[in-house]
This record gives sequence, structure tokens and C-alpha cells, in this order.
Amino acid sequence: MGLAVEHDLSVKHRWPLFILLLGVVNPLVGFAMDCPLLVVAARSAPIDYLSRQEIRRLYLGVPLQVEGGTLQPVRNTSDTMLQEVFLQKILAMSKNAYRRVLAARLVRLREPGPAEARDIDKLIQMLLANPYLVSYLWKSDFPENNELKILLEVPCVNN
Amino acid sequence: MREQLRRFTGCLASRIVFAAVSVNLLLVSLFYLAIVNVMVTNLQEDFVSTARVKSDLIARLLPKQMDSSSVKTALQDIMLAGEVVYANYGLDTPLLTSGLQDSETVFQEDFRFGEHDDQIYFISVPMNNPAGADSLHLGFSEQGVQQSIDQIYYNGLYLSALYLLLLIPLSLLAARSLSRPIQSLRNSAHTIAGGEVSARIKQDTSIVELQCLGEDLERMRAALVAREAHYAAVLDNAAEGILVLDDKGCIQTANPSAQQILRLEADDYIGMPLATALGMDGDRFSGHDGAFHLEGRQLLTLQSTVGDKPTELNIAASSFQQGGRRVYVLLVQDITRHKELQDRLHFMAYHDLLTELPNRQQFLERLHEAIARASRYASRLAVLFLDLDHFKVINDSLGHQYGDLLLQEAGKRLKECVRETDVVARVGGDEFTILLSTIEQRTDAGQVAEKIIEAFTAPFDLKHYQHYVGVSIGITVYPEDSEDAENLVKQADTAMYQAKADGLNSCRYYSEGMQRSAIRRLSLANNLRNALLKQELSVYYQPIVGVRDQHLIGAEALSRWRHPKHGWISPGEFIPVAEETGIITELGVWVLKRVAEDAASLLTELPVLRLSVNISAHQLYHREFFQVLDTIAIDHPQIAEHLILEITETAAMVDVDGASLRLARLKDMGFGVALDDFGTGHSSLSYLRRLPVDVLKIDRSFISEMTESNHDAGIVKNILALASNLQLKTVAEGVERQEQLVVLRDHGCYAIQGFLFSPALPRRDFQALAKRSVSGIGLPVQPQSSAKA
Repeated sequence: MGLAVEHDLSVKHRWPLFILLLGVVNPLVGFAMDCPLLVVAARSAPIDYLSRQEIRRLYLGVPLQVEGGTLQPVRNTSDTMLQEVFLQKILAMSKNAYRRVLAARLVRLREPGPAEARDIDKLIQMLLANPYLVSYLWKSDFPENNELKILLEVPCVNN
Repeated sequence: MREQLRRFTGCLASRIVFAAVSVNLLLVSLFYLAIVNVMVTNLQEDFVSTARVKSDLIARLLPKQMDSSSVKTALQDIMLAGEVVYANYGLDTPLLTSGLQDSETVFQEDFRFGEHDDQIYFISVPMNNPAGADSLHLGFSEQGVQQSIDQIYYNGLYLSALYLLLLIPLSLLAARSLSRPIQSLRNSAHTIAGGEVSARIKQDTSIVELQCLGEDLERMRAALVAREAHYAAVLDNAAEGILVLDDKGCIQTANPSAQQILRLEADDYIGMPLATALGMDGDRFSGHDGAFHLEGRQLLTLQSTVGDKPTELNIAASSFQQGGRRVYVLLVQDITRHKELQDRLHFMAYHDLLTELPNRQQFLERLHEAIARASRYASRLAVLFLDLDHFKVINDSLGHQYGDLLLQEAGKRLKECVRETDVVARVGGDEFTILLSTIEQRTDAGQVAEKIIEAFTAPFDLKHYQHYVGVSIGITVYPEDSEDAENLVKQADTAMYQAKADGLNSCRYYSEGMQRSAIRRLSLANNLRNALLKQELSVYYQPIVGVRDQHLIGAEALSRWRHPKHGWISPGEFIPVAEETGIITELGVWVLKRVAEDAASLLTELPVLRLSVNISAHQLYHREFFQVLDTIAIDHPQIAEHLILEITETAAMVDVDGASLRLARLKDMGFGVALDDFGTGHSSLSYLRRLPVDVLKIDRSFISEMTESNHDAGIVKNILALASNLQLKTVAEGVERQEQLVVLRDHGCYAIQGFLFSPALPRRDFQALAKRSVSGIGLPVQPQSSAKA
């Protein structure tokens, strides 16, 4: 996965670490990625396709009713680059902007943001356990046993 | 240079500046990096956010069905605003803003600001448009944000550098504000170290710690001042001189005692070499190497001449290292006075201070030396022991002041009577010894003794009075009498006592018999006090008979001692012992009381009888004598006019004025007064007129020889004539023969006393005799043989 920085540390822990790593680690160093990005759900999910706008709304807190229930987004925080690609390609937002949106919803509407999965295996388990969960991952992480299905494939070219 | 650099880097100010700059540099760096990075990150985040939002909006606004010309036009319109510098949506060639080269601008999608070094943030927006291209490619210029970021970096650096530049002078100021009071305190401490302790330590700082340090230093200074004052007081008041010398032996400090001892001028002695100060050779204290040398603690006694007076100094030197140089501290004592005192003590140990004659100690040492010499050369020497007659009377009557004068004069006369080689010493109160270091014959000592007795016949001038004092001398000769020094002195003493017993004012050679007498006298002295208590003493009365009718007119009370072992002891033997031992006063009081009691009983039958009692000079001048008489007068009111108190002429002449006053007081009390042993003393007519006496008792020595010696007869006649002229009654003592009675009667003697009529009788016998006399019967003359018996 190359050099990857954990961006989901709390602010409290991030600043000292950031300061310590200043000048040592350049976060702007280029990195490789396993494009494309796939938006996935369990094979048993009641939907087969979601548009980019639908996914964006879903992750920005707009409920998306489907047959038998409401889809719930899950953030894949296992890879920082994956998140950046997802934010740029789907949400069209920066990381801080998305964090502010989630914080505003939490404050105003008492709605917690999307669930998080820091591990691919755990994410897959979560998706398999709930057909209404939607998440995203690199295509290389997509399991080959057909337990999941692809709702949207987002191409990306970095290098 | 290197030392200056070391001092500079070591000084407080530079260290404070260095520390402040270092700490601030570190802090500024951290804050700079932190703040700048936060700002930069925020700028980049905002840029990325804006780019993403705008690219999404553009993608949404693009119509789904457009030909390439319309797309191109729409994209060109979007690029007119300048933010989007690259756009492509299904075109053959991307649209570029002016200034960008097609060949240099390659689309590489960015997900972070500046991810690729192309200053353009490329975004590929998925279009999901089956009729159009798959994605919209947009490029946003990063230059504006990058310029802002650069500006932030530059401004941060500029501000940081400015801050650090300002920090240096500020920290210098702060360091100076800290170092200045420290330097001030250091200067004060330096001043104090230099010996100037009077100035108070200034505390011109608001820094609490330095204030405390200043206060502590001030307390130290005050303590130092107090201690210095203390030591200065010790130095100033030290009896010993204290000198501080440098390593060359030059005086640096001298306390007042040292200045006084060495006669140093107050301003002159600083830097003066010690040898110069002591008036000695310059190399006196130089060692082998020529340098000043007074190492270690040592005592030196230096005989030096300081000023015009030779001074004996005792110098104790010690040294120590101070500042790499040796400093000497000398304690100087002027022991001249000490030596004088030593000599004085030596003189006192070997001399009598009153007469300045050698004392017993020196006399004995000289006698030992003389004996050794005499033994070696087979020569003779003599020891004379002298005692002034009646000296105690002089002391008692005139006081010790006159007694001392007499002793001094006596000492001078003694020295005049002997050779230079002889030794005259005072060995007791009125006792002198003379060592005649070499004599040819035994009789030479007697000649010297006679010379001394002759010298003492002249009166002593004691201030306004002249006094006669006799001297009794005992002589012993080496080697005939003894070869031992102490024994010779003892023998001479014994001989002197014999001379006294034989009648005063005479000399006697020592003989073996004298020793026995001396032992007997000692025995008598021991027994005499007990004799009074045991009533071994009694009073006898020797009748006094009127010359014309031979009737009893009175009696003289005489004490008698019957020792249980030795039998009768003569008054001539025990009275001198009583006088020597002081018992005479007690004995006199006892006799007085006894006579008073006897008189009281006798007077009932013999109302005209008058009893005479001998009063010694000791008694007359004794402080309690008149109290005793008062008691007697109270106990026996009528007795006073029947008692005649007899005092010897010699005792009266010692202090005529004192005796006159006391005798007058006796007469005032009603007692009669008789002058006993008249003719043996040195009284003159003028003295006799001053003495308030009623009776003159002519000494037996004149009476006994008066019929054989015209000289004595003349004396008796003159005394009788004198008494007649002075209207005094006379009593002749020691009348033993009829011829004497005839002569005395012919020349007008009033009464006689002696064996011619009666010896001294016990009270009962006297009473019987008195009764017969009262009845008109005169006393019969005794046969000479029985009378003497």
C-alpha cells in the first residue's frame, strides 16, 4: 500500500504526531493505488446499482429507501488514499469539508455519521451481515467468492 | 584572546542571551513549523475542497447531449474565470489556459495538493454518460495557493528572524538587569575582601533572590564589621604587642601595645624591618639564604635597646601562608617589668622589706657559706643574736609606725657597727642577727657587742621624739660552740635570752647552761598559763615602812609562783617569761583583782594602809586595762585611794606623752601612781614634771651601793632632793642595812622597803604584822641574816 498516514486519529493525538513528523514525512509524496474504486453491497442487497449522486447523498445523510428498508453507508477507513479517491470522485468534497458536514449533522440532527470499518475483512463481514449496508473498496480488495456485488465502479487514473 | 572568549562565554549575560536565544529559537522553530503547516494545510484543504466542489458542479452543469463544439465552448466559458486552467471532455486536445504548453501539460489526477509537480490540481469527474465521454477532466491552477503558502513561509521566517533579532538585545537587557545587581554585589564583596567593610551593601534591584543575597551579604558584612571591631578591640587592648610581618620581615600591622613596647611612631612603622624596629643588626633574622627567617612557633628572648631604655622582649613567632606568601605573626612582651618584679620578688624573698636588711633565709645561706669558708681556712666566725629591749612597749604605746622607724634606725646603727663583709639581718619583729664572718679571737665578738650596746645608748630620733632603747645580745662562736648554722643561731638566741634575764642591755656568750635555762623557760612558759587556773600563783606583800617612825604605811604586792613540781619559782624568772609570752597582761589583771580583794578586807582593820601594785608597760597600754580598773572600782568603791599603781621609769619614758595621759587618768580615778625603779631609765627633770606621779621608788641598785659608792650615794641624794623639790614622796627599795636607813632618813626619804624590816609576806602574815603596826608598834629591824633569808 506504500506510505499511508492514518487520518482518523483524533485531533488530540494528531497534532503532536503531525508536529513530530513535520519535515520528516512529506505527506505530499506521491503514492500508488489500486484503481478503480468499487461501491459494493452484499450479494443479497436489494439493489444492484447506485448512481454517483445517490451514493453521495447516501454518505451525506440523505436516506435512500429501497425494497425492504433503508440503505446505510459504511466508511472504509482502511486506506487513506481510498478515502481521498472516494471523497474526490463520489462526494466531490475535501476531507475537512466532509468532516464538517458530519459534525454539523451530529450537532444539529443528532445523527451519527456513517459507520466505519478500519479493516477490509471486518468491512466484508459487516456487509455480509447486513444487505442494506453499502461501502466502497479497491477493486483489488473485492472478494472473488461472489459474496458481494458491485453497485458502481469508479475509474481513476493517478499515474 | 582565548581567555577573553572564555570569560565572555562564561559570563552570566552571554549565557543568559545564549540560553534565551537557544530556547526561543527552538520554540520559534516549533511554532513556525506548527503554525505554518496548519495554515498551509488549511489552504491546501480549502483549495482541494473548492476544486472538487467546482468540478462536480461543472460536471453536473454540462448538458448530456452536446457536440464537441458546444462542449468546447462551454468549457472555454468556464475557463474564462481563470480558476480552471485545463479542461477536456471528450475533446481531441484538452483546452488549456493561455500560457500553458500543451506538450508540458499532461493530465495526472491529483488527490492531494501538489501531488504532482505540475502546479495544477487535476480532477477526473466520472460522467456516467453513455453518449459522451466517461469523465470530465479539469485542472485547477495551484499557483495562487502556492504563492500564498510561500508568502506564509516567508512571512513566518521573516517574523521569526525579527523576533530572534529583537530577542538578543532584549535578553541582553534582561541579562544586564540581572548581572548589574550581581556585579554590584560582587563589587561590594570585592570591596569587603579588600578590607573596606564600612560601606553598606547597596541593594538596587527588585529581584527577590538578589535582594535576599544582598541582605545576606549585608548581614555578613555587619557580622564582619562586628567581628573586626571585636578583634580590633582585642588587639587594641591586648597587653601583649602583636605584630604582623610580611615575608620579608617588614611590619605590616602593629597594635598599640606593640607600638608602645617598640616605641614605634604611629605613621612610620609600616614597612619597617623588624630588626630595625628592634634596633638590631639587619641580618639578625636572616637565614642562610639571606631571606627573612623566623619559621615556626618559637620563643625568643631578645635583649635589645629600644629608644633610650634597654628593654627585654619575649617574642613568640608563628607564620602561615596567605595568598602564596608567608605572613608572620609575632607576640611581643615587654618583660622588663616582669624581670624587675622577678628581681623584686627575689629581693623580697631574701630581704626584710622594712629595713632592707637580709632576712633569715639569706642570713642562713650566708652563714652556711661563711661556715664552709671558715672550715676551709680553719678560721672563726661569730653569730650575734640581738633583741631590742622593751620594743613591744614602743609598738603598743607609740604605734607600729614608730616601731618601724625604730627598727629601720636600729638596722642602720647595726650596719655601722660591723664590717662590710659582715652580715646584719632582721630575723623577727625586733630581732636581728649579725654574722661576723671572720674573727681572730672569741672575745672579738664581745667587743663588737659592746660597740653595739654603746651605739644604742644614744637616743633614737623618731620624728619629734627621742627614745632610748637598749639591746640584749647573745653571742655564739664557730667552731667552739657549734659547727651547724641553725644551731649557732639557736644558741645565740638562747644567749640573748640570758642577757635579757640578766638585766637587759647587755651581752652574753653562749654556754651549755644557757641551753638548760632556755628549756626551763620554755617549760615555764608552757606551765604559766595553767598556773593561773590552778591557783599556783599567790600574792605576797612586802611592807613599806615610814622612815621616821618605822610604822607600816603600806606594802608592795608581789606575785609568787609555787610550782607543784619545781617548788618556788622566782618572779625574776617567770615575769620575763610572762612578758615574752604575753601572759603578763592576764597575770597583771589577776594580781590587781587579788590585791583589790585583799585590800578591801585589810582596810576594814587598817584604814590608812596603801597597797602598791606593779603595772607592766603592756598592761598600761592594753586596751582593756581601764575597764578592769573600772570593774574593781565598782566592786570595791573605796579601794582606789588605797591602791598605788607602780610603773617603771623605763616604761614611762618610752612614750612620755602617752604615759602621762594614762597616769593622769589613773589619778582621776583616785588611784595613786608611783614611778618604780627610778634612776635606771633616761628620764629628765622635764619628763618627770610631765608625769603625774605621787611617789618615786628609788631603784635597789642605787640603795645597795650607796653606802660604799659615793656615786650612788650622790644619785640617791639627788633623787631625794629632786623628789622633795617636786613634792613627791620617795620610797627606797632594797633597804637591807641599818646604815642605808640612816642615810636615807638623813636625806629626807619618806619610806623604805626591804629586808631590813620584812621580806614579802603571805597575806595572813602581812595582816598580822599590820595589826601590830596599827596598835602603835613600829616594825622591828630584822637581823641581816634572817632578813636576807
